[in-house]
Amino acid sequence: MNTSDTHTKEAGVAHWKWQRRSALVLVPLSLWIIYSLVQSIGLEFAEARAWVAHPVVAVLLTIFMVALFYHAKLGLQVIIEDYIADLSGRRSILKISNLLCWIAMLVGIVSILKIALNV
Amino acid sequence: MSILHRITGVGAFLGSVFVMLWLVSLAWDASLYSFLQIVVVSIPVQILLFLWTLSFIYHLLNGVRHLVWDAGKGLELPEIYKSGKIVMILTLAVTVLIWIIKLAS
Repeated sequence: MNTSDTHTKEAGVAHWKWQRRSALVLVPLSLWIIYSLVQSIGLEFAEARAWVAHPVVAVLLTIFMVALFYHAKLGLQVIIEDYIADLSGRRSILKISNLLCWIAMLVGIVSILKIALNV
Repeated sequence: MSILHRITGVGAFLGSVFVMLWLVSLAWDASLYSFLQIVVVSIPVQILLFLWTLSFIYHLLNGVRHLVWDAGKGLELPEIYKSGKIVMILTLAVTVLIWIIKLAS
């Protein structure tokens, strides 16, 4: 892992820890999500919406959105740092990938909230 | 298997963006939902979806293997080969099980 250029040593340690913490959260959550999504194929709009609106499901889906896109941000960062040698190019691509992850997380959460609150 | 962990990680991410889109359609746009439904039940996308679950579950199980290594366990070479095989077999088993339950319902 190349940690020398686009972040500090301390940030590298925090990165490592949070990648693993988010992974721990994602292990049970992802298994449940993958299972549920496959089973949900073919559901009517109202049925799928009712499933997401269930309080337990809405809370778990929200945690999933946060943990998954945060974990993805950290993982994509490692890949970008390893394969893109050019520093300025690396910085730009890192910005884009970070932004994509934050937007995906935010849009996912807002969508879940909108469904759960039925607004 | 390390490069495979990265590839499947990116795959899991891309599929999750699709899950996010699915939530967007449920929240805002019933017609987008209907469109996604038509896309999802087509055979090529069904195959893609199967490969997505396979790739995600591989990343998940191999990730557990990494977490075990981080705890300082299973680092002997024979153990590494053995856990690698277990991950491969479990990945296939869990994925096939999820889809069998779906097809049987």
